[in-house]
Formats: sequence, C-alpha cells, structure tokens
Amino acid sequence: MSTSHEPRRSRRRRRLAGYAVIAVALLGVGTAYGFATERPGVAEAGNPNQEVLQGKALYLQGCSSCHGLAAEGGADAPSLIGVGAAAVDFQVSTGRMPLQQQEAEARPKPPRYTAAETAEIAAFVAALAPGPAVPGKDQYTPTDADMALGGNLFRTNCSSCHNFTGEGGALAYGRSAPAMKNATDLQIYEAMLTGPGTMPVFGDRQLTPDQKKDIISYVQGMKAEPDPGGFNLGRSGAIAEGLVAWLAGIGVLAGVAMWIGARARRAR
Amino acid sequence: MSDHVESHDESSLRPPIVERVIRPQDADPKRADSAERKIALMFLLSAIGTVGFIVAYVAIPRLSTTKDVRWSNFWLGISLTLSLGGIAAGIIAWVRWLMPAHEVVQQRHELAAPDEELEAAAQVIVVGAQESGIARRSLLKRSLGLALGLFALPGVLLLRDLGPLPRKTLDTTLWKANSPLLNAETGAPVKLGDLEVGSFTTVLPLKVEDMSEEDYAKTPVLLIRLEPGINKPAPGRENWAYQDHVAYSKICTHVGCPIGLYQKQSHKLLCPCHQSTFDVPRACKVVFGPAARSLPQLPISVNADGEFIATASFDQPVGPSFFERS
Amino acid sequence: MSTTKPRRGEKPAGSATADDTATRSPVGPQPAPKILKKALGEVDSRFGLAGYLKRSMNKVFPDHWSFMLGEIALYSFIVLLLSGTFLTFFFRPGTNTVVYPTTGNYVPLRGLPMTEAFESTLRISFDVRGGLLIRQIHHWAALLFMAAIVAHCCRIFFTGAFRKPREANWLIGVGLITLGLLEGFAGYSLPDDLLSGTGLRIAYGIIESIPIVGTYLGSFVFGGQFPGPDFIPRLFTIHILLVPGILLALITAHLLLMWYQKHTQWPAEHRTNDNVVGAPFYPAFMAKTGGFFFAVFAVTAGLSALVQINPVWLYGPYNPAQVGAGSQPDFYIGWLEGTLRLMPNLETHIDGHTISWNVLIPAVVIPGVLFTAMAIYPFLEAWVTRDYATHNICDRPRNRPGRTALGVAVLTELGVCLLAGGNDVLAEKYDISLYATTWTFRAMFFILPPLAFMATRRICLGLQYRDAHSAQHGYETGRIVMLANGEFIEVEAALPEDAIARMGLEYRQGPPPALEPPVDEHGVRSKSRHNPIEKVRGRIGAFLYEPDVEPLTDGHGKGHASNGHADAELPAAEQTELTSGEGHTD
Repeated sequence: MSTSHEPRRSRRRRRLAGYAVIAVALLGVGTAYGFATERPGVAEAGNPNQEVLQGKALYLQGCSSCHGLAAEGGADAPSLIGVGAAAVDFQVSTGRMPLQQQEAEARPKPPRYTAAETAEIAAFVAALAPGPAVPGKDQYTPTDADMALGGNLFRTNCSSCHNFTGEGGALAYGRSAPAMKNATDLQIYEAMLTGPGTMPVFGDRQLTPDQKKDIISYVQGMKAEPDPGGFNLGRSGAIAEGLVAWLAGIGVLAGVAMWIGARARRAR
Repeated sequence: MSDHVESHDESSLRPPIVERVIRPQDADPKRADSAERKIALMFLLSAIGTVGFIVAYVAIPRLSTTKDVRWSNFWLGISLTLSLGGIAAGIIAWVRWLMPAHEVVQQRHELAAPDEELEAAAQVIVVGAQESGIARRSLLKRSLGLALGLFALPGVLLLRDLGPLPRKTLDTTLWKANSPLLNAETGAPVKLGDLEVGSFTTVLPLKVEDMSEEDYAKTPVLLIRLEPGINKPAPGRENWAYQDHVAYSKICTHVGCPIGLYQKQSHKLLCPCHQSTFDVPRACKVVFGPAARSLPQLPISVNADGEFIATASFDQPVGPSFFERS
Repeated sequence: MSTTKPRRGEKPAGSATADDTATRSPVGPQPAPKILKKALGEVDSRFGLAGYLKRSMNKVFPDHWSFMLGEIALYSFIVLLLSGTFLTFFFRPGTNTVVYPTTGNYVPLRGLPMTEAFESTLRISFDVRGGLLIRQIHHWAALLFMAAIVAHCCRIFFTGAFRKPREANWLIGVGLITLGLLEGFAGYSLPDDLLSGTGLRIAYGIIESIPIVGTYLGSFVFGGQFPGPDFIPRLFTIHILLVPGILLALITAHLLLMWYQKHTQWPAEHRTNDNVVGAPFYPAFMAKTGGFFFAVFAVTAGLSALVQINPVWLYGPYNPAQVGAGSQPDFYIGWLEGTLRLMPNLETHIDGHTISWNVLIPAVVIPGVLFTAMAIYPFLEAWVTRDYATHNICDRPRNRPGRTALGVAVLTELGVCLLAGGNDVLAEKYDISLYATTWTFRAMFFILPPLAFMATRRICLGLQYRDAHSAQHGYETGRIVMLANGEFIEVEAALPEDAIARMGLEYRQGPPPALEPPVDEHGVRSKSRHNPIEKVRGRIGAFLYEPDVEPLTDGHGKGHASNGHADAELPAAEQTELTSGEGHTD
C-alpha cells in the first residue's frame, strides 16, 4: 500500500514489515498453543503414574471415541475395564486396534502406536481394574519347550479354528481365525491368555504357562520347519493339490498328447 | 499329396497307405540325420539323469533332518524326471520325425457272424442242452436250482464275525452319574475356577489310556463357561448347568466330526467339517448347516472338592443319527 | 553329416522320396535274419502266434490326442502298481499304539504316541531314502489316474463312443471310476493321520445313516464301533489286493475289447464307419504309446520332486477328539463333501426310528443316482433316439447338441459340488462370509445346470450352423473385389475337401424320426402314439434331441440375400474364378 511518491526502499520495508508481523504472530500463537496443550511424551523410567497418565492421554485421543471416555464401552466396542494390559498389548501391537472401520472383525495391520506408547495405553487400562498382565520374556519364550506336546495341545484346542499348522480358517458370521505367520511369541501367549475377539479364553489355570510355551514352540517351530516334499502350496490341503494335478498334470500330458498326435509338417 | 486309396491286397506286408506324407526330413537325408542327433541328445540327457539319481542317492548315506529329506527328495525327483523325460521325448521325437508318417488304412471286419453261423450257434446251444437232459428232467433242474441257490450262503455267513452286532452300544457312553470331568490332555480333574469366562475345554470321564479307542471316540465333552445370564436352559434342564458352566458332547450329530470351534462372542459351536452351527445358550440347537439334532447335553455339577462331575449320563445317544435312534 | 552310402533300410540316394508300389511301405521287403525266424518259429510252434503277431503288428490305430487320455489313466495305474509295491515293503497297517522315537528324524512329533500305520508312514517319508519321493509319486499318480479317468470318460461321452458295439466297455468304465474312487479313498486313509481319519469318521457316519441295515453294516465293515481295531488292516487288504485285482481284470477286459473292436475315429477324409485310418501298431503306435508311458511317469516324478502332496506329518496322528480347519478330501471325493455341506438338515422321526435325509441324500442317494444314470445312459440314449446301429465314427460334440448340453450340465453340477466341498477354504482365502458361500452354492446347485444346458445347446447349434455355412459358401478370404456393375463383394474360397470332411456334417443329430400318425388311414389307433412309455420316449427325444432350428442338411438354413457374399446368383464363370481365389473378372 505504498503511495507512488514514497521512495522505493521504504515501500519495500513496509511490505516486509507486514509479513514479519504475521510470521511473529503465527509463531507466537503456535508456541503458546503447544505449551498450553498437554503433549504426551516418553514416560520417564520408573514412574508408573506418569506412564498411566500418558496412556490415558493416548487413550482419550485414539480409543475413547468407541470405547468410551471411561473405557466403559459402547454400542460399537466392548468395555475395557478388567481386560488387562495383555489384551491391550495384543490388540495394539498387532495393529488390530485402533479399528480402521467397523466390520465383522478387527484386521491385523501395521501398528499405529510405538512399543512405548502401547505400553502406556496398556498401563492405563491395567490401572482401571485387575486383569491379565503382559507376560514376562521368560514366560513366553519357548526355550526347552516340548514341541511335540505343544502340537498335541494345538490340535486339541486350536487347530479346529486355526488349521493344522496355524494357516488360519473361516468362522461363521464373517469372522475368521487368522494365520500365525506374523505372530510373535508374546502375541501368541497374549492371544491365548485374553481371547481376543471371538476367540475363547485360555487362562493360565486351563492351559498352564508351560503348556502355552509348548504351543508357542509348536507354532513357531512349524513356521520354520522346512517342507520336505517340495513347494507346499500354502499348506492348504487337497484342493490345491487337485488343482495342480489337473492343470499341471493333465494339462502337460494333454500337451504331450497333442504333440504326439499333431499333423506332420509337409515338405515344401 | 495323393489321396487315392490303393486297393486292398491280402498278400501285402503292410496296411495300404491312404495319404502319403512327405516331411522335410523324408526328402532330405541331412535333416533326418540332424533329427537323429537331436533324439540321441535326448537319450543322452536321460542317461545323465539316471546317473544323477544314483549320485543323489548315495550322496546321503543316512537321512537325519527334514532339510536332508527335502534336498534328497528334490534331487532324486529331478534326476528321475530327467531320466524318464529324456526317454519319453526321445521316443516320441523318433516317431514323429523319423518313422513314416503315412496314414494307413485297415478295414473293420463285421463283428456279427452271418445268419447261418448265428443259427448254427443257437442250435448247438439247444442240442447241447438236450444232451445234458436238463430240459426234460425237471427234478434235476429243480434240485440243481436248490443246490446252487444255497451254495453261496456259507460265504455270506462267514462274514458274520467281521464285527459285533451293534445292540445298544451306540446308545450309551462311559459317562454316568458322578463321573469326574478330567482334562483330556493331562487327566487332571477340572476344578471350578479353572475356566475363565469365555473359556472352553475338552473333558473325559476317564484318562485316555484307561479307555478303549472306541469308547474314547465318543466320550469327549466340551465344558464351556458362558457369561453370566447368557445361558437359557430348556425347561427341566435348569440344573444341568453349574454357575454358567455347561457341558455338551463334542461329537457332531451330523456325521461325527469333533467340534472344537467355539466362537465366544456369538456363543456358537461351529463344526469345521460341514459347518453345522450350534447355539450354546439354547441347548446347542442347530442354527445352520446339515446337522439335524442339537448336541446332547451332559448334566454337571461340582463336588465337595470343587471338582466338576457329571450328575447323570447323556439322555440320548451321542454322535450321528442312526435308524434305531428315536 | 552327408552320407555317400545309403543307411540300412533306405533306398539308394536319388530315390529318397520314391515309394515301393509293390509293398506300399516306404521301406520295402527285407530279408529277415535267421535268428529272428528261429525265435519266431519256437514261439509259433508252441503258441501258434505268428499269424496273430503279424496281424497285430499291422493293426491300425487312429491318431488324435484326445484318444490318449485313457492312456494317461492306464500308465498312471502302472506307476501306482510299481510305487505301491515299493511302499508295501515298508508300510505296517497296524492300529496298535507305538511311540515315535525321541530321536526320530521329524522333530515336531518326537515322543508322541501314534498308531503303527502312521509311524511307518513317517519312517517311509523321513528315514527311507527315496521313500518320500515314491510316496509322493504314488499319491500324484493316484490324482492323475482319477483326473485322467474323468477326462477320458468325458471324451467318450461327448463323442458318443459308448454306442454300439461299445456299451460293455462303457459299463466297465463306470465300474473303473467307482472302484478308483474307493481305492483312492482307501489309499489316503491308510496312514491314519488326522485329516484322513476325520474322513473315515465321516464315512462311518454315512454308513450309519442307511436305514435298517446302517448300524449293522458299519459294525461289520469297521469291526465294531468307530474307529475299530481292524479297520486299517482291512483297508490295507482292500487297497493292495482286492481292488487292484479287480481293477487289473477290468482294465484288461477294457483294453481287450478296445483292441478287438478297434478304436473309434473322428470323421475326416478317407475315414468311414467301416475302416480305421491311422498308424500301424508296430512300430509307430507302440513307440507313441511307449513314449507316452515314460512321459506320464516323468510328469508324475516331476510333480513329486517339486510339489509336496499329502504331508501327513503336518496333520499329526489321528485322534478322534481332534480336527483341523479346512479339512478336505482328495478332489474325486470332494464333490461328495460338497453335497454333504449343502444339504439342509432334514431328518424324519417315525415310530421310534430316524431317517437322516441330511446324510442319506447327499452321500448315498446322489452318488447312487449319478453312477446308475451313467451306467444306463448308452441304453437310454439308444432307446430315445431309436438308434441301434453300429457307430465307429466319433461325434463332434457340436453335432449332438442335446447330449453335449446334458453332459455339460452334469459337469457343471459336479463342479458346483466340488467347489462347495471347499467352501470354507474359499471363504478363508478370499474373505467371503462362510454362510454366504453355502447359500450361494445351494442356489447355484439348482440354477447353474439348466443355464449351462441351455447355453451349451445354443452354442452347439450355432457352431453347427457356422460349419454348414462354411461348407456351402467357403471361407472369407478378406479380399474385396469390385464387380463390373460396381458392386463390392468379398471373395470366398471353398474349403478343402478334408476340412469339410472333418466337420462330419452327415453325422449331425437332426430331429427324431417322424412319428406315426395317431390314427392311420383305416382309422386304427397307432399303438406307439398312445402307449404312455412311447409318449415319454418321444418327450425326452423332443426335449434333448430335436433342435428348434431346421437341420442344415445342405447349408441353406437361412436366407443370405443381401450379405454381399458370392453365391449362385452370379454367372458360373465368374463364380468359379472368384471361388478359386484368383481375382475378379468382369
């Protein structure tokens, strides 16, 4: 807005001054806002209260819209009071929670929260009411576990949903038992302990921690176990085998038969 | 390409040609030799495959890990494929490239004999029957019929001891009043409080090793702990559950698969074989699938030591339906 | 490599293409070596075979790839016999409990109790060198055997090769299919693993559902209640002795009949109902079929090297209280699994007894109806079409719209059942609601086969029309020509004689024979027109075999006035020149 008779330098200065005022104002308001709101940060080690508070903040931000402000649950989500830290750790670390959309069941996806943040939310939920805690490393790591026994337990309790080696299976009402290919030892333990979604609960008095270790050893062991017969077709069974027999077997042999019976090439 | 059919001559060595086919290699000996070399190469590859098989076999004196087995299966298999495939390709190429490709013809002979022959055959049958005397001698005929008719019976009768008569065996199981509910894996009794809400486990009345295989096949029972207030017992069955714990036969009433699939949130048991679905709070009534009967319920209670026990046997046969079942 | 002297058996240089008109063979008569004559003499003086051998070696076999599907089954059977014999040296069909050694090669099962049958299967797979390969060859060959039988059966059906004089061979074939099914089921149930054991439990349940005799039959077959200590050993006897013996006998009869009656052939030039054109048995056909045996064996070995099949160690030993999700039988049983899953839960309770329609219909009635219908089909078709003549020429499927459409409808039904048998796997892999798959397949069970029937019939009739049109008018060469009067036409060239012969136009179905008038000229009622059975015969015939398009006996079914093609309206000279593709004239 400089008048035409003002020298050029002072015209520029006035314009610049306008920009400077706006920039300062923005910075100032933003900084003030930043200080005004509570920012969740990394909890200081050894300060459980701080962890619970951080967790509560995260919870209010990302979970309360479905699970309620006091974790009491709602029409779309169950109550979290008493589910325990283990349930939260499982759901959040597998990325099932927060839900992307309301559908028949929560899908595993890349987790949204870091491990520390997950621990904070879990601490918050655990503080609401007593529930299964996150197991310690020696509890879920299957060293010295009996893989064969674990297999037997798996086949009695788990394979009717998850398939013989944990490849997953279909359930009713749009649900499914997922494949175990990305599951960690801890996640398998927590799933058995807390019974996520429609999965039944296998508490420690029903499947003892040792038995759980055996099962984990079986599941993880089977993932690593090589297939001695060749390509395993997804370990999915006779349907894939039948398809291969028809397409590769009969297909190739019909092709050979066509070669045998083909019209001979005439000279010239 | 001539296509006239040459006259059929009984004394000729080979069938007459209807279509003469001259391939490039028929006209040019050099091509034929080249074809021969290609075929020889295929046979050579087969021989290499065979040698490879022998090498792969002796390379591992003793299998000891799954990886060994995978390696062995692969190399033995590939070399065997090469060995067989080389022969296959070689022989087929030999036929197609070098053996004559002419189309030859053969007349079909009339299958039916001329009428006189047919008449003669029929007459021989009649004359022979008369010679045997069977037409005239009705006593002979009838007694023969009796003997032959009966003679197959011992063969059928010998099959009787293939198995016992079913009698009432299908109607009952080992479950009776005061049978303990033992964990199917460990054999330890299941106590009140072992199961969390939404848990289920498989239980037996005896340890597995103390039962015959046939009894074991029909005794597994599912003990399920429902959420409080969910269970809706049928009239007269209010005391068959104990503090939200219910027990039902694990054997599907469709064709007998064990049902291990419990969906906690919808309280349904789903049989993985043919998708029969049972609604647990409503006495395992069938809500989907080909099963026609609800799962038999085992009435349970808890004894003084806090251990689960059955209070009576099943009130109906477990497992698939059969004709004698009412 | 140039040769200056003729190789053995060849003519001298310069006459490479000359034939020997005296013997009609390109090679010509050869002096037979003495030792060959002596050997032949020894055989002939004992068995009288020389004449038979000569005739057999000259026997002509037609050449078409579709005739080799049965050979895939035959050679798979030989592979099964060879590999199976090897397996019997190691397999122990015991149901007694043993413990897998804690030092066993397969770690995840160490120390577990299991039946001897399962344990010996593990030993074959993990301890015997080549054992797993032979086991896989055996199972892949079994799948190829059943698949080839189905493909071969389809070929026979769609080409009408079951007609007189081959009805007996068809019946033998139906027997082979059912026995093959039983044999395969018995075979994969022998290792007594969790997957096949579940199948056996289902089989016992199915037997139990049979009214009156079901429980007795189940008890006798299994030796008591399920699982029965004798069942695996009995299955072993059935699988290695009884059924292979019957199969061997039936296959031999099947081949002998085919040998004696001679093979059918497709219509083409030189081929009539009374001859066979092709290659002689020795050496050409022998070599082709021998080479094909090695090909079948090679493909089986290749599959066994690369693709794992029936990994029983993953399923674990059979335990009646355990089951795995996504349990599937082999595909040839899969359609039965599908019918079991789709059937609604119907049961009737009469007078203290139960009739389980929910198991009886899908598992006993439907396969019974299917195999019975297959067995009587040749006789049914002959009766409906009143065609009792001998047929040695294959029908092109398009020339028999009714039969082809019926076959496609049945295959569609089997396909729906097969997919339904794997509905839980489909639901899991493709994220579809489980119950939705069941309902969808239930609907498809009723809707798809009639749709397939109608569509196939239409397609066949359309193809017939196109064939007749091409035979009459020739094929479009794509060359456009302007006539003297300014009209543009496309030059059509006549098809070669052989191509027209291959269409088999004279073998088309056409309408059924004309019926007698209901009342003849003397006022006498026609017996056949008023006989209810004859009425049914006529109705089925009309439904299946009468096309609603006028049969194109000479290619002029429809008008072709203004479609710009060269036709008989042009002067003969022009037409000749045009159809020879030489260019136009004015």
